[in-house]
This record gives sequence, structure tokens and C-alpha cells, in this order.
Amino acid sequence: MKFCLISLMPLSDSDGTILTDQVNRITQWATIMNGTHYNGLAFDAGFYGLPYEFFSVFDLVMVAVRQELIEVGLKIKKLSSARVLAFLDGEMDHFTSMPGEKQVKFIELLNKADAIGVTHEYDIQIIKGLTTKPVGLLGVPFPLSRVRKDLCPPVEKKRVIHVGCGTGKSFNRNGLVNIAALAEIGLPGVVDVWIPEDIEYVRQVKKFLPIPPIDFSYTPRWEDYIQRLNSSFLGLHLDYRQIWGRFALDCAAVRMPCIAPDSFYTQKRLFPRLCVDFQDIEGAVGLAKELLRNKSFYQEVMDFAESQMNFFDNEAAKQRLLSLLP
Amino acid sequence: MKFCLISAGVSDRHSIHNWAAVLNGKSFDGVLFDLGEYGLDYDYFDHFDLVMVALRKELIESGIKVKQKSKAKVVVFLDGEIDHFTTHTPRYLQAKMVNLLNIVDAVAVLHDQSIPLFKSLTNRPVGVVGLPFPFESAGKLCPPVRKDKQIEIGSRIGASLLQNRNALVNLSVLAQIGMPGVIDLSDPVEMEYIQSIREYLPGLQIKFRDNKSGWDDYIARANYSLLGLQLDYSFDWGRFPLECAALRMPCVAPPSLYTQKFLFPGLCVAHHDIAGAVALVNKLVSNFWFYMETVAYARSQMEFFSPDQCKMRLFNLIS
Repeated sequence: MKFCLISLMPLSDSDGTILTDQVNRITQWATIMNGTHYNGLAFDAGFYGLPYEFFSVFDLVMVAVRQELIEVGLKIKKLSSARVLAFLDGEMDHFTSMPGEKQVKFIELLNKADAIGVTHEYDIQIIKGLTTKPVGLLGVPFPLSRVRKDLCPPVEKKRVIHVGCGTGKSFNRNGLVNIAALAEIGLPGVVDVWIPEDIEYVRQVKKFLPIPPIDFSYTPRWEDYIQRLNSSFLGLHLDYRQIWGRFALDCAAVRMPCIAPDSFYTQKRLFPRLCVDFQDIEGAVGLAKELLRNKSFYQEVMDFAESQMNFFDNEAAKQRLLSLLP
Repeated sequence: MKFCLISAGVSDRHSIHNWAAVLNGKSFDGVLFDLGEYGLDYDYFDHFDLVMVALRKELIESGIKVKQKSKAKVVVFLDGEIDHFTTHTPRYLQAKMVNLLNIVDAVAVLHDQSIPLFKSLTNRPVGVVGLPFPFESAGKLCPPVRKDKQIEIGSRIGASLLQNRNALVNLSVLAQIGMPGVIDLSDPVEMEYIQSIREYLPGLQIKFRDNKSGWDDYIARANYSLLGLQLDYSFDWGRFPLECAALRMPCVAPPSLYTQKFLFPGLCVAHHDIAGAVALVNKLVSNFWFYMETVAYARSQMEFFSPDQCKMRLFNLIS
């Protein structure tokens, strides 16, 4: 099957070539399908010098839909003969709370695409009410074999908590809640940062909260990030989005538990005993302390997560995709 | 007690401004005050015993100035959904908000589930106070009437992002129920949206209500609806379920709206639970006793939202 992924991932020299990178992000779909990738906005602006009819060379085009790519998805469907799968690549409220004009186009796309892939089982009911096309849970394939064999061997964990949402300028969804939880738990944390200014934010909040020592991690390459994650003891990601949740899966892959809400599908499936409401500081603190204190609880939680990991692997994801197509 | 409210945004009868009304206090727009539009300095607030800052990101710095430059007691009232403060407020202002939370005399939140979070951010008293409901006005405007078979929708599909909180989810439910939904129209283009969507969702029936006369007109006309529906993912106070209870009609909504949790515990569904919402609406329509019991329970809880009860919670929090 000739496969193409259209997303908002930054422009790259590899656009238009067969992708081989094994990383936990949307491009993994192109990798496991031996397909190519194009940035949708760049394509629409003519950056690649290709017309929309070009997509007729593919059997399947997956459009990783965000607000910006709704019309691109419609054009691919209208101007090419490829089958189009709309993959909702974002939290559900991104789609249900768009300006009215965009919502109209979104519903048009849902009804013109050949199938709709979502990232959480909770999304299925909502989207099924808006389209007659098949709707199913897809998620993002995870390069488990690479992580386990090449990147993250078992290591002795440091007693630190890696925080799943950064405090960055662009990636600061609910960062304050996670910092507050860290302060209550009292264990050192690791926070991902992108620019020096991100560190300043934590320093400012620290004037008023007893935030434990924070190690700021700058790892733009995913491989570096996951290797860094591997040395932590526990993951924490308090966030209100209804979405796939890459972080809980990263945690399970590096053999550590994650405390997060069940609005992340990965969390719900991998760590059902560690699900808390996104603002339930007391619940998160209680679970973190139990994991620190009780080795058998930690082990039970990890044994269960391990039993679920096959669901997220490349091959299982591919089967879900193929089953969804009419 | 001399009371002053500092807020941002438009005033209507069922809003934060009702605090100034029930406490016979003054009200200022905090942004305009800071710009000097009233010609007053911050030490002017010495005149008051209590200043309530209805906090949105625009008023964080004003709140700090009121506390630092006047002798008044200050209560911060978090006047928005939690994600407004934890995500949509710029980081430098979040840091200042934590500062503000730690220098004021008390912090009022809109939902009991937000209490642990704010207790971890401040050592000042934190509690639910809520918005006093204008019972008297609602009583005069909304006598018992014969209800029409239509659903009042708590969100709408507007032209701007801010008007669209989860509107699409509510439309998905409506399309499956098949009963008309009523939506306040703020812009004629909203009718075009629905027309376009109906091409794909033929079961969707919407009655638009042109409402430019404010809350009084809205509540008087909403009185004719059979029930309310608001599937929303935000943790917020929830004015809509309270209005439904005042109109003697049940409301289907998530417990993330505090009023819903309190008034209609039997009609709470997760914001994504379309099947659950459809089933509850169908049960309310088909089972008269269930409808009446639900409304009776909500009415029995409404005293909690009276001005006197709200005042008592506020005074307890600051004492």
C-alpha cells in the first residue's frame, strides 16, 4: 500500500522520501507504512511544487488533522483519487471548540473522508454522532523495539520525578498544577525546557512554593529525551486534555509508572490504578508516596503496564489502521 | 461593611457583578481603573472594608496593587475555568498570580474539586463561595408556564473561538435526540453554520433566538424550554444549570460544573458521554415522575445559591 502522511511537523529534508525514523511522534505512521510525509501547510503554499492531483499516486493519505489542515484534507479528497483517512491529531476540545466556520468545514471533512481515526475511546461517540463514515481508535504507533533494544536498557532509577508537561512558553499546558504537585510530594523533579526563559518561570514560582530541586532537561532530539527519561523513578503529567498521551507510554516503555488522568488514553490503558483527576493534587501525592514506599505496588503497576504494551506497538497499530479502512 | 468589586468584562444580572449588588457595594472595571480612567489612585481602596478581585489574567497585577497600596481586606475570586489560570495565562502572570494568592486575605474558588490545587498554591484560606443568584428577578420574570418540547442549549456555535466551548459535542447530542434545540443568536452567520452542518446531520433542529436585550430577556424566554443541555469540559461554576433549576427545568451536564453537581446529581454525565446524555434526555421526556423528582430535588437545593447563603460563605472565608 502506498501511504502518505500530511501533518504540521516542521519542514524537513526527508519530506517526500520514505521515512525510516523510529520515534514516538505522528511521523511514525509513515515509518511503519513505508510511506512519505509532507507538511500540509507547505504543500498548500506550493513549497514542494506539487499539485493536489499528485496524491493520486498513493493508495492512502492520512491527514493528521488540526484546525490548520482541515481544508488541506478536503482538497486532497476532492482533487485526488487517494483514499483519505482523517486522523484527529489533537485534544478533543481543539476540534469541538473551533470557530463556527472551521467547525462547518470540519464536519464536511468528517463526512467526505473515507474513515476517521481518533486518539481516545471517549472521542468515538462524539465523532460518530457527526459522520456516517467509520470511526475508530488508532493512536500513534510506538517504536517499542528500538526503545527497549537500542536506547533504554534497564538502569538503576534515580529517585526523581519526570514531569510530562513542560513549563515552556509553547508547551505549558497545566504546568503550574504539576509544579504544585511536585512541591507537595517533595521529591526532586526533572522538567523539560526549550529556552532559558522556561527556567525563569519556575524560579519565580519558587519564591512562593516549596518547590524541590528541579533538574532542567534540554533534549530536542527524541532519542536524548527518552534516554534521559529512562533514569527517572516516576512520571507525573496532570493535564485536562482528552488525547492519546505520549508521555504515559514513554514512561511504560522505560519501565516506570506514570501518574496522570484517564483523559489520556495511554494512561487509562497502561496505568488504571494511577489515574487521578487533573487537579487532584492530594490523589497524585498519595499515589506518588505509595509508589515510593511500596515496592510491590510499584512492581504490580509495572507488570500490568507491561501486559498492555503490545497494543501500542507498530504492528498492532498497523492492524488497527487496516481494519478501520472500509 | 463597605464592599468593592473589581472585575473585567460585561455586566449582567447573573454575573460576578451581583456581588456588588447584594453587598450594596461599588464596582469598578479593574482594567480601566489601572489605566486611570476613574482618576483614582489605588489607596482609594482604603475606603472599603473588603475588596473582591474577580480574577482573570487581566487583573492579576491590579489585585497585587490593591493589596499592596491599600489597607482593605482583599479576597480573590477566581472568575473563570481552571485552565484559564493554569494554561491560558502567560507564565510571568502565573508567577504573579501565585504571589497574589499568597498576599491576599482569602481565595474563593468556583468548584470544590479546585480547593486542593489552590491550597497547594497558597497558605491563605481557600473555599467555594460562588455567585449569588438573582432569585427575585428570576421569580418575577419567569412564572410557571407550559413548556415547549425543546432543549435549551448552554453553549452556542459562534464566530469566534471564545464562543464555542464544546458546541460541537452538544450538536452531536441534539442530532441524535431529534428534538429542537434553542440557541441564542449573537450573529446571523451562526444560522449559516447550522444550515451547512445540517447537510451532514439532517436530524439536527435548531431554533435561533435573537437576544440582544440581555439576561432578563434571555431568562424570560428560556423559561419556555423543557430542559437544558450543556456538555462542557471546563471546571467552572456553571451558571446555566442554576438558571435551569430556577426555570423549573432539569439540566443534563457534567459534574465539572459545580452547580450541576449540586443541583442535578442524577443528571450528571461526562462531557464526552453522548450516549449517556441522550439516554437521560429520553428518560426525562418519557418519564414524567423522573422529570418532576429531578426538578423538585434541584429546587430543594437552591437556597444554597441565595444571596444570604453566599454572603455567609464569603464572611466565613474571610473571618
